[in-house]
Order: sequence, then structure tokens, then C-alpha cells
Amino acid sequence: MQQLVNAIVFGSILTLFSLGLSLAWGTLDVLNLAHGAVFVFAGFLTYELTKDGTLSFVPTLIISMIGAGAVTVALELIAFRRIRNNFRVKRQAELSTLVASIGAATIINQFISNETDNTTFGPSQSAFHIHQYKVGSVGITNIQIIIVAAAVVVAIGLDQWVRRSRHGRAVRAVAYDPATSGLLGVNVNLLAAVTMFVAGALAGLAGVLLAINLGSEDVSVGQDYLLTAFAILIVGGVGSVRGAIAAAYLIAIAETAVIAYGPSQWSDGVAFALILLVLLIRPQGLFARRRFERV
Amino acid sequence: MNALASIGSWYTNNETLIQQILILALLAFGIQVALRTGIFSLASIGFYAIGSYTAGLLVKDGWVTILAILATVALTAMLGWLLAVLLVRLRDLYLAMATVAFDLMIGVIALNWTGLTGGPLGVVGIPISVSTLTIFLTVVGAGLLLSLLERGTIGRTLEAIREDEELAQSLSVDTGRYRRFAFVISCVLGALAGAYHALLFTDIQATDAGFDLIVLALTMVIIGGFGSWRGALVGAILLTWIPLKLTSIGEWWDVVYGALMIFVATFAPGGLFGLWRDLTRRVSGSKSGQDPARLQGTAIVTPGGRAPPSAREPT
Repeated sequence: MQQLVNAIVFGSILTLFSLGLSLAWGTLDVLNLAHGAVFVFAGFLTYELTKDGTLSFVPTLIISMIGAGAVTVALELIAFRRIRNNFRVKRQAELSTLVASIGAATIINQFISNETDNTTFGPSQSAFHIHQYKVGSVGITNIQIIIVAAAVVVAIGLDQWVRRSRHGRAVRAVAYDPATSGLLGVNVNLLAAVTMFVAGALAGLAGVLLAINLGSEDVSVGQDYLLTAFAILIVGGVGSVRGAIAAAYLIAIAETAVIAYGPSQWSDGVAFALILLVLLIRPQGLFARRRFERV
Repeated sequence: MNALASIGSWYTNNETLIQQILILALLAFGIQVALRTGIFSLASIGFYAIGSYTAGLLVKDGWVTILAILATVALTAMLGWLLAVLLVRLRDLYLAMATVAFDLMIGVIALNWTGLTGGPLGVVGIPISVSTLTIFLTVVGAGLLLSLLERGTIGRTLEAIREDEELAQSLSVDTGRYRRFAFVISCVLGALAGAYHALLFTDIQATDAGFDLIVLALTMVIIGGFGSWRGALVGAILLTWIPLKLTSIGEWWDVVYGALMIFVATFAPGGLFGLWRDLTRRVSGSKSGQDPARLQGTAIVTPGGRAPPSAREPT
């Protein structure tokens, strides 16, 4: 039972993290390798903001999310937009985007490491008092409840936003054919900036919640989550919101089970093995209905 | 006499650096030959690990160096071919993702197959069994091979596959065969790099070939320019050498490095080599901008935008 709770909390953080990544890749063909660094950056902002102990939880969370979103939008404005508009060969654009985001991740990680003297850092206890509730033998903390609730709200909200709202329909149109949707009056640049902001803010939300839950972290956490998120995107099907959510919980349960009951030293391999398996057997992802067509 | 002596002492002072550059150049070649054919494969890094364990363990077992290296090449060529067949359906970012997963899976296996690889302790005490000269000659040989692959019919064929695979097929090019061929070369070059690293620096760690090495190798090729093996070589030299020379800015070096990557990705998709080629072309007054190594009819029309140098329309 305790393991199931752990798996659900882990899956919720993965959901928040990978939805942003999935949104950017699925709609804009941006595989943003800086997503992990932005995620840690939000945790770093929380640490900086709560250091003197005056700011409370909600404003810290909001400022950190806006900060993470702003960093991602800056990256969109500096690099991704230029690449998208200049390189019409899709493969070249994808490759350049990937490299630019690696560069951005390097800068952000180095900035955080320098500011924290390469040590682990964590938000101050004064901003958020962690309290544990016991139900029988199963323990869950208040931050873990917030994490699960946030994941549920964001997952439903994002799914409905992409499916139903005018904005969401425009996002899907751009994903399908950016040139034509541009002709039909969609402001592609603005929409891309908004999408990247949402993606960054989601990474920020996940980053702040994880920072509080873990207590302390360093920049390597971002990379671990990024690699797991790759598996989620592949298993769930790129760009599919519901697929990503299902895959996030599936992988969280699989990894938790391997750590708890299986050969725990192989837990890192679960995500990579899943990526390989799914790409070999069903490249469009387990939950996608769209036909795989990338030629 | 004095000049010779100073070259000698410069060499002694920088020998490790030169060895690292040569090994990373081989790895970068591996990535470059794949990218140039339009195969976004990063499997070379997984094969770097396989190569280092195979060659290292064989030599430690008392094999003659040359036999161990040949066995490594044979084994990795076979495994590379198998992987190419398995991943035949995948393209672009999906292929990249699958090969990254393969690399990291190899890392996890290396960490856990304690009986063979020593697990987290790694393999130590491999006799030093290659010289810098051997590696240098291998790099020269690989460079020659890759420059042959950039010329003539085969060069144009590979480029055609990158630019438009279906069109190449319609011109009766067996694209699958060429793709497998490039993939295998890419894997073997990565394996050779790993083998030389093990045989020169005498130990192997399971963490040697991780995500950081993937990023480093890819960066070298992109910054140098993936259009030619010369770009990969320039990338390997710059990214090994500059960090050492820029110790004065110390902890902020990575920021410069990251900014350089964003700059190259955004403004110079052909990398430094592409910039240089554009420059010399402009200077030599060739207005057509036509790349000699192009198959007729593979031009990609790029309306209203800058295209990468290699994809520019012949006029």
C-alpha cells in the first residue's frame, strides 16, 4: 500500500513534468532538452525566495512558475522561433532546436551550480511545514497530497484546454500544419510563445513541488527526470496528453515496483527498456491512435 | 635542432590531450557519418562502451592487441548491423530517442553485469597496449574512408538519401542497404574509440559512456559541422582543447560553451565547417552556390527561408 502511494506521488510529478515536454514536442516539434534544467531552476528559485523565511508557499510557487515559464519563453524568442522560421527543412530544424536546448540546459545548470557552490540546495522549512498523515500503516504528507491534486487538476485542465478551447484548437492546428494555420489567421509566433510559457510553467510547478517534497536536490535531478520523461513521451505517444498521463503513472508504478520488490539496481533500466520496446513494436506509442507517419 | 626539441617537449606536455582529441575525433566521426546520411543515430556511444569492454577484457585476458581490436571490430559490426535491422522503421527524433535509450541501457547493463564488467568498480589494470601513433593512423584512415564516402557516386548517393529518401528510392537506390552500411560504420567507429580509450588509459568505468558523453559527442559534430568529417575533427579539437585553455574564466566556461551552442544552432546550422565553406565559396566568386557533391534533382525547395548550405537550391 505504501508503495502504491509512493508510485502515485512519483507518477504525479512525472505527469506535471512530462506534459510540458509533450506539449512543446507535439505542437511545435521542439524537443526541449532544457526542460529538466528549467525544472531544477524553479526549485532553485524556491530556495532563493524562501531563504530569508518571509515569503509563504503560494507566492513562492507562483513566482517560481512564472520564472520557469519566462526562461522557456526567452529560449523560444532567442532560438526556437528563429530556427522554426529560418530552417524550412524539418529535420534540420529539429536537430538545431535540440542542440540549442542542450546549450540552454548547460547555461542554466552552470548558473545554478555556481550560485549554490555545487552543493545540494532545498527550500527553507519556514515556507512550507511538511506534515505526515497516517492512515493505518500508510503515510502520506501534505505536500504529497498537493502534488497529486495538482497533477489531477493540471491533467484535466490541459486536456480540456487542448481539446475544447479556441486556443487549444489553434495549438493543434499549428501542430498539424503551421504554414496553413498561419494563413488562416493563427498568430503562430504568439501561440508558440504561449505554449512554451505553459510548458515552462508546468516544469516550474513540478520543480517547486518536487523541491519541497525532496527537501534538497541538485542539478542532476533534472537530467534523471528528463530521461524518464523521454520514456513517457514515447510510451504515451508524442503530443498525446492522455497518453502522457497514462504512461507517467505506468512508468512510476513499474519503477517503484522494481525498486521495492525486484532487482532494484535495474530500476534505471526500466524507462530505457520501455523506450526501446515501444519504439520497436509500436512506434506511435501505446495510447496513440494516429498512424505513425514520419517520412 | 632547437625547434625539434621544442616540438618534442610541447608534445610531451600535451600528449594526454592529443590522445583524448584523437579518441573523441573517432567517436565524432561515428556520429558525423550517420548524420550526414540523414540517420540521427547516437548509438556510437553505446558501442563506445561495448568496444571498450570487449577490447579491454580481451587484452587483459592475454590476447594480442591487434587480434583483440579486430575481434572488437567484427563483433561490433555484427551488433551494429543487428541494431540497424531492428531500428529500420525509425527516423529522426524517434531514432535518436531509441539510440539514446540503447546507449543508456548498455550503461545500466555494464553497471549490473558484475561478473563480466566489474559493475561499479569497473575494469582496471588493462595493460597499455596501443601507442598514440596507432590511434593517429586510425584517425587518418577513418578520415580517408569518410572523405571517400563524401565523394563520387557514393557520396552523392548518401547525400541524396539524407535530402529525400523517397526520391532516392525512385532513382533505384537501395536506401536501406546504404543506411545500414552507414549505421554499421558509425557503430564501429564508436567502438574503436572506446577500445582505444580502454587500451590507452588502462581502466573502464561503467559511467564512462553516459548521457554526458552523448551530449559531448553530438555537440562536437554540430559545432564543427556535420556536413563533413573535417567538421567533426574541428569540433573534437575545439571542445577538448578550449575548456583547458579557458581555465581563467573557470566556473563560467560552461555558460560561454552553452551560448556558443545556441549561437551555432540558431545562426550556423552547418557548424564552423559550414561557415568556412560558405565564406570560401563567396570569396572564390562562385555565385551558383552549387555543391559539387549533389545528386541532380534532389534540391529541396525552401520557400522564403534560409536553407542549410547543403540543402541550397542549385540555381
